[in-house]
Amino acid sequence: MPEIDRRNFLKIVGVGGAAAGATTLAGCSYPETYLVSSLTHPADDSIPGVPIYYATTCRECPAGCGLLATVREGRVIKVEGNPAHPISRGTSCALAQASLQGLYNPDRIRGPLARDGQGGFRQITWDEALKTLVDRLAELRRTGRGRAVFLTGQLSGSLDKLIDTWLARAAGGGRALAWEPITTGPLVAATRLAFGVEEVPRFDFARARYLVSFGADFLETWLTPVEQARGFAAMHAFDGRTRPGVFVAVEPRRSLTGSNADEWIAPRAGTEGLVALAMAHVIVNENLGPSRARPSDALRRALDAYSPQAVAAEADVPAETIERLARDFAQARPSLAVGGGAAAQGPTATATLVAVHVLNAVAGNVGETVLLGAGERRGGIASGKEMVDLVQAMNGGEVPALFVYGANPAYDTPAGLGFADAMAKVPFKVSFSSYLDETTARCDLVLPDRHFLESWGDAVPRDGVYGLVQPAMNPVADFDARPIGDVLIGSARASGEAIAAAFPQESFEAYLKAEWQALKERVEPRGDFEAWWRQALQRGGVFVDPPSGRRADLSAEVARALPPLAAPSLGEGDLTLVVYPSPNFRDGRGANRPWLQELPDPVTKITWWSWVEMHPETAARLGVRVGQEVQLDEGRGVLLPFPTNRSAIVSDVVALETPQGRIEAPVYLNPHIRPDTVAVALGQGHEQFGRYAQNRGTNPMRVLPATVEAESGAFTFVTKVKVSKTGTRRGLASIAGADDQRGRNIYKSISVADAEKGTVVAHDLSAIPGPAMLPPVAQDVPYHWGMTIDLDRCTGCQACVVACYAENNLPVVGEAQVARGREMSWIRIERYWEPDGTVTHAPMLCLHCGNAPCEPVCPVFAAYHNPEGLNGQVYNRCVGTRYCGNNCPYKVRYFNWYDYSRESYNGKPNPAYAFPAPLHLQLNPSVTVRGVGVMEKCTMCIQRINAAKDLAKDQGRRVRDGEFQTACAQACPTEAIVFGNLKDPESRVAKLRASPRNYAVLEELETVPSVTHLAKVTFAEAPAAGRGPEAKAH
Amino acid sequence: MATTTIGTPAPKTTTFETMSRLSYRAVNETVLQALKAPGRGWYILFLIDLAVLAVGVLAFANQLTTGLGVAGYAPPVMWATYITTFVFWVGIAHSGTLISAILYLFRARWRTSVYRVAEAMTVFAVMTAGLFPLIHVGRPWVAYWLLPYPSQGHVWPNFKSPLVWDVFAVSTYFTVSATFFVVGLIPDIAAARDASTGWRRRLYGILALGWRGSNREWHHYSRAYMFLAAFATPLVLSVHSVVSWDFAMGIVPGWHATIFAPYFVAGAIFSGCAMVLTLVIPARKIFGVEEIITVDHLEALAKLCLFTGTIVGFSYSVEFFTAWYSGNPFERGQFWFRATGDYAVGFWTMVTCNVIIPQLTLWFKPLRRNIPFLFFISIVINIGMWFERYVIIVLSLGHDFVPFAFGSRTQYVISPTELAILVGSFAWFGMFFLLFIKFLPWVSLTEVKEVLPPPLKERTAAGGGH
Repeated sequence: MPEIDRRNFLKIVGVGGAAAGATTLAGCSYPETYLVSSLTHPADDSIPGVPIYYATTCRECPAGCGLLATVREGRVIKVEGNPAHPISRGTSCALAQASLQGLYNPDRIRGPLARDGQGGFRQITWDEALKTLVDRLAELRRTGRGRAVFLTGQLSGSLDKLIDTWLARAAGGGRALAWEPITTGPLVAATRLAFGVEEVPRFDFARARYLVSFGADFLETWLTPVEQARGFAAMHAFDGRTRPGVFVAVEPRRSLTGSNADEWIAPRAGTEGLVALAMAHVIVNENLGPSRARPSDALRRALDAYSPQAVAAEADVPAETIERLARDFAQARPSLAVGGGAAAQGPTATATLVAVHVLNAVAGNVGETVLLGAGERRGGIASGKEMVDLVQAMNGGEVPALFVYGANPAYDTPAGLGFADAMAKVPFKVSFSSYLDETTARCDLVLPDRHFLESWGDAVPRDGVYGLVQPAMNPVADFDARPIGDVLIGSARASGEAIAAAFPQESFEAYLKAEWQALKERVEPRGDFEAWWRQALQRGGVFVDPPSGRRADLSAEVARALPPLAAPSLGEGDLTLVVYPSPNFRDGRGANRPWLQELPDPVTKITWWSWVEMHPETAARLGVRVGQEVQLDEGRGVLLPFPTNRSAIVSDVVALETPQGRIEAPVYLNPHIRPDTVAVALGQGHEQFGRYAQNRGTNPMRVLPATVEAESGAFTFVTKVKVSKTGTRRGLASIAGADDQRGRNIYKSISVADAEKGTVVAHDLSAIPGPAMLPPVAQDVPYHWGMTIDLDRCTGCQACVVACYAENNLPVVGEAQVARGREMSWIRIERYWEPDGTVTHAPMLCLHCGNAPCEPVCPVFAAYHNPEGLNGQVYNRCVGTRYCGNNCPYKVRYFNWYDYSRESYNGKPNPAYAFPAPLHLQLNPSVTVRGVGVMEKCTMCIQRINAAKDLAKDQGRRVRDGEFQTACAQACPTEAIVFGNLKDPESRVAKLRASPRNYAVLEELETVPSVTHLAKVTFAEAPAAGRGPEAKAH
Repeated sequence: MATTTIGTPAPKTTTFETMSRLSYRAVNETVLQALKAPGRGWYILFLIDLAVLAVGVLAFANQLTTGLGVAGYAPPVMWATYITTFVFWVGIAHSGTLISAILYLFRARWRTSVYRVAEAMTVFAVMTAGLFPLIHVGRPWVAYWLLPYPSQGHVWPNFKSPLVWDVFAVSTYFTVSATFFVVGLIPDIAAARDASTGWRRRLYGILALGWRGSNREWHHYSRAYMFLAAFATPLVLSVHSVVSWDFAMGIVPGWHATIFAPYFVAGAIFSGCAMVLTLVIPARKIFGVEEIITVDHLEALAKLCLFTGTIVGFSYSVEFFTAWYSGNPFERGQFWFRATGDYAVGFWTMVTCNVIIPQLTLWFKPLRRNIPFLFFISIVINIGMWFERYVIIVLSLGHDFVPFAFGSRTQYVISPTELAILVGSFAWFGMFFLLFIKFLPWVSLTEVKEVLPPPLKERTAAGGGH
């Protein structure tokens, strides 16, 4: 053994220490990765690091909003609203934001599939698939007798036409049905009955000064939510001088839309139309409407029966309330009444909507806010009646072939219909779906379509709005998918020359172009097509003024179409079930997007599961226990009628039973639902549809009867149910820690009168000496980034939340983690039930305090202040003490409890990995994917700030106001979130900050935030007390 | 061989009657017999202890590789069992130095028989406490960034952060209390050296630093001891004050209070004395030193518990009063929440263990002198003091400013990992304590003798310089 001298000692200590350190630390640190830059020139002339934007049209719902797809290094990483598009005007919704997770969904079908004979599927080649299709088509043409059926979602462009041609020629004839469970059928029927026009009218929300919604969830799923949200903000948000209009929601269950109402009126389900007629009765009797809107004698006589007193008994709404509403409604000109949601899918759906039309007509709104002949192309949806007939035909062996595209009737039709079982009787079923949904799983041949971000197409939601869909990237390599148009054309062209002659183009792209050549002849006959086409691609379509719409007189027959003066019979049972479309998933199509699963429901704030909404009184009567029952209100010592503290609700599971079936779900106590009503959202309870949707929650369609409403043939989403406790309990992962503000008045509101007077909301803190340790604002820096959030404009739609997930690589953590409060959502919408009956939706994100409590407590300067007013968070420097999170009064710091960024540990897959391939392709390359053990939070999209500053520097100028926005501000349909440079006095944000309504949340803490809120404007007295709304309406 | 330094006043008539009958030799023999080769009981205990520790270590290893998610954290509760346990152990560490240093300076002579145990407990408790910040942080492999070391990045720790103060306070406290402990051991180790053979003799020989018991050595020793006592005394107050500022410097309602430093120090001594009782009561029985550590000593500790416990109880009521009197809705909400909210069980456990039971019993002398009862109440106080920190940390975080972000009971629940590490920390502490009790004189021979009447007849018979 060598002698231990000083040198040897140091050697041993050094080597041994390093070895020990290396072995112990290797397990802790991040794996090393290498970045290899491309040596070849990218094919599309893209410059690595510089985004390219492609204009396209969203296909996530039939609204037809324009999108801009942001492409980085050949991959779409984000979508934004297309500012040139007249419907979305640069904003978007949660579903549109989540379309990326449809594109990169790990459960997307990877190639064509055929039945393997053992109940499963086998992967086949496209050649095989097309050969099968062509062979079967030939057989179909011989023996099918023109009875093939093509089920689609609502289509409005060239594909619709192609399908018709293909059915007629290649499939030997058949019917195309557009199936959407959220239907406009009753609206179309009602418009026909009321005005003699079979169409969806256009509703001009922006001009309305008094808005009454009879169940229409126009901020969620009804018609065009993004456009309507913009219109709603224009009529309802305080505009700096006054508050233009009043909004009253009439619905048995208060929806997200209803939560934005100044007043919520809860009639019995199915009696909404009676309330509308009683209002019309008052207007007519008191002669409040304009003279041009005077009703016919027949109608006047018919309305006589619907006195507020008579209706009050049926609808369970006080006659005085109806009278007050009617007077306010008539006096505010123009006003607007809309009907939809459950009111439009009840047993008297069409009559209810006729009643709403009558109300609009007698108040003189037709031609003002209700526009007919405005070119809306939102009709044409197959009725429930047609579906019943189809199922009968299928069961009778009358349907030789079924083609399905963009529809999932095996999931989203009422159980009473038995669609899924009937499919077994169809000998040949083809699905073009990209996902293995319930319908596709029952098909014989699956020919996966490309995602709309990889495809050509168009959408015409309204005359004059011709939206183009173009591929924003090469198809995701993981999926061997072909555009449905190409498959249809290819199969037709392979079916013999006679048929091929009907399909002169070889691809759908060429077909589309030919269609648009015809369109150009109509809208702009002059000029070169190619240039026009290129311009259309750049703008996302061709937008010409839509027909302006006109007024129309009520038809003479309208009196006969009114609902009978009695609450409709809804079958047997003790409570009324209202099935409503989920704001997150719509009819269920969004359920396989993890962002949308983790996105809390905007009303209940529950994630990842289904629930039964029940009034606390009803729950008490049934002995249903939910979390904590009743808690003292600290502020005033008053017992609130609803539970106030339940982040993780553990509640009794109840069963809802009808003759059609039984579903079970835990109860959520909602004070904003009638005690005789329970509600369940559509969208969950998938049996198929991939890992994120499967076996999650319950599908209320399973208890719905297949009864259809007589006039429109629409299915009924309202039925009586038997409710019983199952004896089991289940937790619901809610993000809401409390449902009211506990009298703390953190999110302030101000009365309209005070707002008009310019009363300053913020306290004057100037007398208090400023915080001594406040970091001085850097004088030589031209920017101080800030934001204002207008609580009066926020509708709670949460588009911003999903936009933030997409922009900033936020991991989805799953139900169990959300139940522990570990969601990573940098921005959240806090929903509070206020004592005055209103609901506050308060966006909360890092406020980037000037005197930030998080900064001094960080022991290593990971939380630091940047000269431009931002709170930086240096992930690499973070040790993970979480002191910053504790000391943040707004609770907007999020910790990486697991490694959501790492695919595997030592070769074993990481169960917490949030981006299973190919979801990882969506990750924004400009934003770090955070590792385990570090704190993260809103950066105010610093990557966008830096990109804008770089560009401005290259061009030798300063960043201009509005040149870029944060992801949340950009998504917001109502412009509640405004971002900009506070040091620029001309910037929008600086001007908004000067508003008297501007204040800092928890201002008494003197955190001096860069993000400030603007107080909500409410009527000081509850409108129910008979004051308020009418005084301010004009 | 009594010296005349001010640290060792001439023995007066003592109230500790049983002790005064002991001879110096008897003291040596009684205490040093614990250093004999361990018996089967000790080995079994030690193996059980190591097994429990191993479970804790494995739990930590699992947490280190998968992430802090395996702990029960439920934001906004981002500090929980680990920090609770950290503060708990730092608190335990208090009474050791209090007994050995402050009471030394205050001439509380009853401390002599228990101070060694208390001091050992201090050192081991700090060693235990010091692990918890590392267990608790998200990336323990970079925790050294909290130390001010020269680096190429030119980034120093943020000296504004109470966590950095903590690093200094705890490490200083550990250094000083360990030094104090080791220095205080020197004469006793020398005695052990003289009474032992074989490897033990060599080991003690090194540790005794060549102590011969000369007058000069005693002189320096006493001076050094007093100097260290004076040095350690402010640390007793400072370390837990600094730990309390981890909370008081935050703006969280329930934390942000000026009362925190004295409140924490009193609580620390309260729990520390209780822990001394917990350790000493079985040990004096097992090693048969009931004559050295008498019921009088135990009563003195109980009185200290009563005194500090009363301060703690008073602090609780002051917290509530302040919250009410301030009119601050967040403070009011927090304290209302503590008493009635989701975690009210934790709060009432704390009140019962720390206020109700001690106040109802310790005022009565017969109970203070009832040894089984003292053992029981020491456990009760330890549980109560753990819950005190739990209440301060978890409940304050669970209910602060923004109602929407409140946590609730179904959320933060201690996880198996945290429980294993919590129990493992007791095993870690126990491991050191078991080793200590077998390898080092666990009652101070030197100081016990100082309070005994001088041995007039057997002046030269006692070994080790006495």
